[in-house]
Amino acid sequence: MTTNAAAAADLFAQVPERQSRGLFRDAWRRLMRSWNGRVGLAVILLTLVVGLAAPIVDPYDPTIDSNLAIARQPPSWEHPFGTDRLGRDVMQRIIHGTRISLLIGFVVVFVSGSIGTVLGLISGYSGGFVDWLIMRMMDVLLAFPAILLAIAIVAVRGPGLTNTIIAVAVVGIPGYARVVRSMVLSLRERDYVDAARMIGVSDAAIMFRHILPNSLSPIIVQMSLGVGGAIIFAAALGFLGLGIRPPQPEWGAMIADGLPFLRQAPNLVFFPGMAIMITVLGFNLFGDGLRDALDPQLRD
Amino acid sequence: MHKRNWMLVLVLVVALVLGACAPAAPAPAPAAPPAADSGPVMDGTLIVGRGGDSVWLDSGPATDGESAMVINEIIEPLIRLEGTSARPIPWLAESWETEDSQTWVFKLRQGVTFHDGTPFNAEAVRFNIDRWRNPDNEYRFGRTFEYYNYQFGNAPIEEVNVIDDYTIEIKLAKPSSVFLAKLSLGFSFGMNSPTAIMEQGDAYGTPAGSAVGTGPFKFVEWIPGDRITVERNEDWWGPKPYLSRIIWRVIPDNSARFAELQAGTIHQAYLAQTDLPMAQADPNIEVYVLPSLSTGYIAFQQCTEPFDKLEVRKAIAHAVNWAALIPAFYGEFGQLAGSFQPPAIPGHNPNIKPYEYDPDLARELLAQAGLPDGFETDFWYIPVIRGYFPDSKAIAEAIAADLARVGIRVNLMTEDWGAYLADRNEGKFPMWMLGWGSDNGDPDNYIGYHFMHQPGQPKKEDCYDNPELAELLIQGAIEVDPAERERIYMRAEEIVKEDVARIPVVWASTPTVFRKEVKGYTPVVFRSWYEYIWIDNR
Repeated sequence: MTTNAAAAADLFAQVPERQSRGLFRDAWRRLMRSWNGRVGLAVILLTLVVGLAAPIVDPYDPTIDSNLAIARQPPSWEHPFGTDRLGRDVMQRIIHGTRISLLIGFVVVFVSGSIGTVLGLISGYSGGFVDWLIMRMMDVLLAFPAILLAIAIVAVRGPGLTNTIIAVAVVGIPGYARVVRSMVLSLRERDYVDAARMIGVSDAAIMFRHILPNSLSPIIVQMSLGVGGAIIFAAALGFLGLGIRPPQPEWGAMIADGLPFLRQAPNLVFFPGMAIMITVLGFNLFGDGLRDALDPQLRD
Repeated sequence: MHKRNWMLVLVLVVALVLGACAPAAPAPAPAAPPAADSGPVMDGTLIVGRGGDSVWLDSGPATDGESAMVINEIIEPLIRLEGTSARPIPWLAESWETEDSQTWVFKLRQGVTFHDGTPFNAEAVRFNIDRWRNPDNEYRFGRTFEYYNYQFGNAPIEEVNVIDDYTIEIKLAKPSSVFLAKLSLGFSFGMNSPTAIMEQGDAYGTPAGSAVGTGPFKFVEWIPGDRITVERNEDWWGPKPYLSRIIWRVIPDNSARFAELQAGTIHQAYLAQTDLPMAQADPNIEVYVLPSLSTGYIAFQQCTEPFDKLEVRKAIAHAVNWAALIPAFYGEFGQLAGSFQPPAIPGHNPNIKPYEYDPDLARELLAQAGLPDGFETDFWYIPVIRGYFPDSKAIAEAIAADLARVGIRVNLMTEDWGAYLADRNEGKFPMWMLGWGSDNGDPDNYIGYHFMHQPGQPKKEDCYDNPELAELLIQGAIEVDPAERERIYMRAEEIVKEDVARIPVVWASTPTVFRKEVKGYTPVVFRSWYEYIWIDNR
């Protein structure tokens, strides 16, 4: 018996280590092997730590934070990024602005991702008139330049955090809906869907239990890239004065506020610009890495 | 061979780039005997850089500063105001007389012709006045004469009689002590050539036509969005202007405009407040500080809670460190306001001091008003840059921070400029910021404009009603004796302060900025007096 066990152990030892341990574990391994994925993840973790720890380490109330006596100081040891025209520490505001940007990024992606996915599922699975109607609605949204659509939404509903999120989220919906729909169109012809339908599984269950899990990877990639897009889009609205209301420390608004002083105090524009760039770059690198890792064509 | 060609190209490109990067400073002038350096220089083209284009070159419908600065050189009014004193001086009218401030007789300057050769006489004056006062006048071409409606709405011109070629009589519906000051607004009440208006029709005063007046400079061309050019009127009735041409160029970007001024490609520029410190530091640029003729203020809707309570308005006045705003946002171009009107306006009351910064007093006042924990409200800030609030958002944030420290939580709000002004008129804002710049230095156009109302019928914007103030302001617009008017407006200032009807924040001035080679400019308000300016490149 022992020989048998030894033989079995031998047999297992011959199995190559690359044995698949499931889609997501494989993907994770590939992700960690890629430079993009590692750097992206590191940046994301850093911003998350900064965003989550900021209010604990340094309680900050932007509504009473101004000290005109130290307005527009250049970078120094005391104020590494300098102070703005109200004497507020630029570094402190960038750090606390991280929370707003991350909040917008994640909430927007969650909202537009869920709505877009459900619409895409229904559209692709139902076909016919429902498909036509939903897709034409998406075309209408896509027909507007994204920034114009967002500005229109903010103009009607007024500026503020919630309305910024709504505006940016609405703009993102068609992207998800189209990606999901194209996945569904190919998946719904598969045998396992036919089999499920034959044994009487309901349409809703087929959509959400059988088709959705198999179209997850493009959705995840789209979402991870979408966070960066949402952050930059919200900053653009803030830059145009349509985003979050002052005095909240929003990066785009900080750039707009500093712009008139570009020649005298470039630090007012440079540091919030870097914050946006690094964060968005982090999410985009991570998204790229994730796409490569989840791409079935690249599976070895 | 091939390689060498490339090297040549490279060398040329580098040379070109370096050449383009070299500072465009004028070459150092050769040392000349000092005697030759003095005295005005004839001819020369002055180029002015500004942010936007003129709207009209027709004196009548024009209301904006960009239109006014060009119209003022081409078209002239009957009366002008002298320098900073705001004293009416003869212009196209040589003298005038009135007995009751209601019927006015003007003697016109003789021998004046319009740029198109049309003689300037009493008929021409009547033609222009008829155009202002009659909305159905066939030569209005559907244009709105907003300034006439606003300046003469209370006391319209009822009759215009030509007595002889150079004498004209104007009858008002009511006596007005400020009639002359109103007539001095040349961009709206200047004398256009009747022939030009009749010949050009709807094209007059637009880029498709021209502008024809009697002024020191004649219209040459208007390329919309780009430039307006005028040239010296050799037949002007006044002293011969030194400049042969003036060009107003539209340079929308603030930094680009400032860069051109530094490079010397323009001679005068309207600059953003934020660029002024750098302009002052530039040895080639002169920044002329003008006396303040504008006020930035905070206003309240006084029929609704909580600003219906005097204690609340007072609390706000004491909760904010107004004095700290001045060095931070205005530098030397602003002064902490005491009374509503700046010192240059008659009726300014020097006894009225700014509110003291006293947060404890503010909290006490709030408690007296039954709001010991403060309250929350919307605070609207202007969406544009104005001399009186050069950085409105940041100023609003600073005010909001001070208010938050005494428990008043304000939501900072703004909207499109047109909507902002309209909603303010409709009384939709509980608390807002705005300002005023004088048109002609008269208190009726200042404190009068803001608080004039019939007793018991407050304006919608602030719902502020004080019968004594209302009577005073109505009286002030009729009273002729300057001393009595001064007394009336000084008392009006006291009432505004007692009621905290507005919180005046700042008296601001907009500086004029020239390059140093431009000489002969005296810093006065209302007009640049280009006929006395010359360019000295020696």
